[in-house]
Amino acid sequence: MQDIASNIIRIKIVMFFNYFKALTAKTVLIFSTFFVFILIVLALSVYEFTLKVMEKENNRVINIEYKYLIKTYLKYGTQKLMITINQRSKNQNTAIYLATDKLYNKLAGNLNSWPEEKLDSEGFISFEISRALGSEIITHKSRAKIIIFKNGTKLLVGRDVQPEILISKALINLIIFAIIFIIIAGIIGSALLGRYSLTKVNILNTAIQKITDNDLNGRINNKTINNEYKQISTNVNRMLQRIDELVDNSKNISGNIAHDLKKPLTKLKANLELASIKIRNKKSITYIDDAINEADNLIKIFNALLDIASFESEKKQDFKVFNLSSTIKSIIEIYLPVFEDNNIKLISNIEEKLKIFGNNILLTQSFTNIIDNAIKYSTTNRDKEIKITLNKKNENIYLNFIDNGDGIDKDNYSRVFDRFFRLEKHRQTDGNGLGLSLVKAILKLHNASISLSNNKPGLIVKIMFTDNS
Amino acid sequence: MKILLIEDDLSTLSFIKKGLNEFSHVVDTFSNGHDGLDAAYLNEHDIIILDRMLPGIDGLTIVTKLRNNNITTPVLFLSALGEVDDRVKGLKAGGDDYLVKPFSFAELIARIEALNRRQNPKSHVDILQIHDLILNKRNRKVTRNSKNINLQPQEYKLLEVLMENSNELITRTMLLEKVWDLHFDPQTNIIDVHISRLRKKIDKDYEIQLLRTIRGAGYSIQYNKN
Repeated sequence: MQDIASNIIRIKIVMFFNYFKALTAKTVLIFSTFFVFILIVLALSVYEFTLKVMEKENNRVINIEYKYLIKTYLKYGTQKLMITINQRSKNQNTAIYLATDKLYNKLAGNLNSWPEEKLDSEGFISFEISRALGSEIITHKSRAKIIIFKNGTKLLVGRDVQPEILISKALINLIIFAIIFIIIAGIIGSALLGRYSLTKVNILNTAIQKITDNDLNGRINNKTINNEYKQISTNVNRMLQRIDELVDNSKNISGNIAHDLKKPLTKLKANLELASIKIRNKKSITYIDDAINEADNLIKIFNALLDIASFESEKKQDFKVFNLSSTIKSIIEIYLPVFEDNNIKLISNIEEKLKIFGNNILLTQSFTNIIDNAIKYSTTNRDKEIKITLNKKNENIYLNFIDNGDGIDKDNYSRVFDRFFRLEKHRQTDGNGLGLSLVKAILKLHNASISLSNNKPGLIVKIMFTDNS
Repeated sequence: MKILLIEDDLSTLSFIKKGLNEFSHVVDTFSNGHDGLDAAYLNEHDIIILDRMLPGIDGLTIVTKLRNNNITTPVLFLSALGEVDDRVKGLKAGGDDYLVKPFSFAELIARIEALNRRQNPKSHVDILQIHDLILNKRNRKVTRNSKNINLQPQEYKLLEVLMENSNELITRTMLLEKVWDLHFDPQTNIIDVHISRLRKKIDKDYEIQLLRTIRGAGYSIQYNKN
């Protein structure tokens, strides 16, 4: 149970990551990354700017205070300065004052000791210092300006700049939070969008695949969709309609030609036959007989074309339940002497009493066609062998014809079922390239599938009848 | 033979008529079902050649009516359709044989003659004989010059069909239908293979060859002294 559960989770994870393979998901991810980058740049600028503004403001306030105290000293002397400093120290929370003598002994102010830090380029000193605020002792970042008077008295005027630090910290937190949020939102968003687009595209994909595999009559059902995918599927449907019409046309053309040419050909042949009855000259009769044979071949081709057209129109004539096992056995019996004469070893494994619903005569024709091909295209001299098996598995009936003859290249597996297609190496042998087309048309009429594979050497023809009766 | 030909396509009709005349048959022709049926009711013909599709009354109906009136003249159906269920329907309605257009005259003639023979058939006879070749239907034994010949079931069936129509042409198509129940012509020459096997057994060791190949048409079993 746990295995199954963990497997399901694994599959779900794989599926989740598959969503990111969608183009839409990738686009969203790329866009999110870009957005995060922009945000970082923007946030850093805001951060810098804010800090600058705050620093400037603090410096301005310090300068005002600084100038005021210098004026006080110059006008009223040291005494007054000390009083002012002490007064101001009491009222202020953020202002910092310290006055000392030249030996750094505290004279007045709210700082206890002189900071050891050095001056910066603008004449300010930054330091961290503990001081009493009400009943608490606090350690804050501070900045101050200093001056040393002629009598050695040193004065420090500064400000607590802790708010600057707090705001910068808050800003950094905000930025980090925003970046994380955007990354998460980007991943989730791209997964969702990826899934959405994949589902929609999959609907199109499976529909198109089905249509390609089975028949051109299928269409994509897009009634429930109402977006850009609808447009695509509508256009695909229109394309299919057009292809369907073209295929139908080409089918009808060969059928129509066959139908129209058959009649004059019949008359031609009849006249030739009448002539051969009349003529007593033996040499002339040979010519006429040859002409009659050629006419017969043409008529055979036309008949095959008309047959294929009629099977493709799916008229199920004379269908009934019959014993397929006996049919195959009697075909084998008919062909046994032929196999012997061609030095072909026959191996057959026919399961008894398998019945199907269909047309016995037509199926017999298609099976003999396959056997005929196996005999015809076993031209090598090694131990020739044909294996015919019939068995039932999972309600399906499988009929295989396996030879070790010349075989067919994999590339041509589907083309050999096309009308008039012949393998290059067999162009010189008799045949019209309609045999397997006929086989396929007959099997399709029975909802049976036919597939070819390599027997190394030779050909495996697999026919599958699905249980539909 | 007196033949009634009912066919609505006039060119086919005239070709068949000409051809049959060449073989010295008398042919009455009609191009619609009504007239054809009336002629058939006269019951004067040896064979009726009948097109499936006819204006007026179609071929199937004509046969049904004739059989209902106890007219048993053999009927050979002609059809341009040639689809399987047509053949089945034609034979079910009471037709005796079926031929798909286009056919060869040799085929038509062979079939007409086979139908005519059925009127006084050899099939009721248990023992068929050509010269010194004897086929006994009752015990399925075949002998030549009193020597037993051991035949496979298919060889026996082939010989039986040939001997029932001895001295006459049996076309390849007729053999495929009657011996193997195949209603199409396979690419592989099944007939040649089977005929040559039969020939080995019945003719090979004898001076007089009974099983003849009629070039381009079919086979015949016959005894010619020369």
